[in-house]
Amino acid sequence: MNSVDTTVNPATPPNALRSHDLLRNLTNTCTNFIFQLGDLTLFTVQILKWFFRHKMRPGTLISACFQIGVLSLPVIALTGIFIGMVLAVQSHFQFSQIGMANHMGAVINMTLVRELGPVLAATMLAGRVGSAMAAELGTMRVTEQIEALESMGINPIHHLVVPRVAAALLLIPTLTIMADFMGIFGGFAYSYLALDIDPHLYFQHSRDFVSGWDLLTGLIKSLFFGCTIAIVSCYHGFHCQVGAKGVGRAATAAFVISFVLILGIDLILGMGLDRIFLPLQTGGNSLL
Amino acid sequence: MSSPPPLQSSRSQQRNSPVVSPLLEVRQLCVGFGKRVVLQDITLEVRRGETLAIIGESGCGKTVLLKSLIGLIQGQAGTVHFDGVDLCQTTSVELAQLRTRTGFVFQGAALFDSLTVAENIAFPLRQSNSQITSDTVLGDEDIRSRVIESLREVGLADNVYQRYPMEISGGMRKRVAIARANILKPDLMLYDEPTTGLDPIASDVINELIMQSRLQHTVTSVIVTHDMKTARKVADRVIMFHPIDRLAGDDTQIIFDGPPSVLDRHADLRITQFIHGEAGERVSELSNG
Repeated sequence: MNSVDTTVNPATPPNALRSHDLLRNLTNTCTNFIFQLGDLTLFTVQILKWFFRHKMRPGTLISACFQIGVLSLPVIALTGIFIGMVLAVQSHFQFSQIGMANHMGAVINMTLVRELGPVLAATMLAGRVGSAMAAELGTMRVTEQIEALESMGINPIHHLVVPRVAAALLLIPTLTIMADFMGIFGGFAYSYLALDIDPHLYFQHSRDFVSGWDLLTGLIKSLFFGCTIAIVSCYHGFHCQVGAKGVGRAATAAFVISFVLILGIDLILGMGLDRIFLPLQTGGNSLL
Repeated sequence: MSSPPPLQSSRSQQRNSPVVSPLLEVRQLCVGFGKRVVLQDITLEVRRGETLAIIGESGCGKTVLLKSLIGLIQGQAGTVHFDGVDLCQTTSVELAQLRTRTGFVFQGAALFDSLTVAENIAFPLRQSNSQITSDTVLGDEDIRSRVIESLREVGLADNVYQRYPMEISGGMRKRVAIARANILKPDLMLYDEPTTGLDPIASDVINELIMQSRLQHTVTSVIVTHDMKTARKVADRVIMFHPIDRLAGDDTQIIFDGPPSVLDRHADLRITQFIHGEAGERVSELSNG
């Protein structure tokens, strides 16, 4: 037996074996990560190529818009309204202690249009649509439907991925506006009906603090979120491993990675957009 | 479904026809996945109008070869020529164009489960519609009549027209897959285990359909199968593959290439074991773990 083979050499101490395995696992993980990142980049380049160079079939776009936009509306509206109410509950508890309960409208609405609206809409989209995209494309991969498309001379990225990315890009701002609106409505309804906050003051303070730039910041973020969800989900569906387990993993990975990326992008864009928009704000662009 | 005329006439026509260039030429093709080599130095030709059956044990690379023939899987070495065009040297647009001249029947039928049977069959027509000039574009009514005609050709009633693939049996799905692959009257038909998982009657229906399609128009067919009945019934020529890890010395991976009638008289133990379904030395391998 080869003496340098540490995995079988009885003279090698167990600690050395463990650290050797740990190092090997770490190397494998890093290599896999780099490969996946490269693959994802190439996949994105392919999407961009097909997006700009070739005309989309209207049928595929409409179908994707229905799946992503129309079917997501109820769940986003519902979660939006609840998150607005929860914000009202939490804000009232804090603000009433310092005698500023009438100011909570500004905080609720600012939080909603800048952060929670876009992030909530994107999270719901990642959970409802992203996982479904990955599972659907994964099943198509496993059952050779993607190869069947290729065998007919049809590019699967053009036929399956581009419409989904386009629909996500097109509709996530609308869904974000819906989440914002329902959140604002939920927050106001709870504040007025349950907490007895003066509606005039509630909106007066909102108008003073929340500007059109804040809404725009949220919408710009949502475009990045939508693009990320669609690309990551389609990528995992396309590169799905065989079997039911593979499809399940693809769906889970699509949601988890999309969610982590949404939060990461939110942080980066939050910092970047503030630097761009804060100097531009003049105070006259109030939203409400 | 009416029984098609006997195949002998088309076979004799082919034997008497002048020599033409083969539709498919594979030269020293090597395909592998990672460190695992599946196909090693495969060289073969498929003549125009010929029906070739590829047989061999599971895992010996038959499906990989079938997919390589239209560039669905890229080889590490060697060339595949389709009608004189080297698939490795073509652009993606040219390759897509070439693929419209082929029909592929996948092992699990690979019907699009979000589309109805009719939409599945019409799919290649609608795609080719989007790529051709407005003069030759088929209208919805033309497409509908072509789809119904295709359904009848494969012996399916009109009532499956609006059903989804999950709502019909495995045999019907295979027939729909054949109808879909045949709708553009391709030059080359590729069948991946078309009778696997079907009862003997459904299998024979598929065999008849394969034979029928070559009577309707000149088509070259490559059939990957484990079913010796299919190979004997529909093929002009049979190629047998052997798994690489079982090859001895300098043996080639193709261990038989000839007409199906010769297959039964062959002395090679590997061939006789396969066609008679005998485990042979595999039994001792099992007991040895």
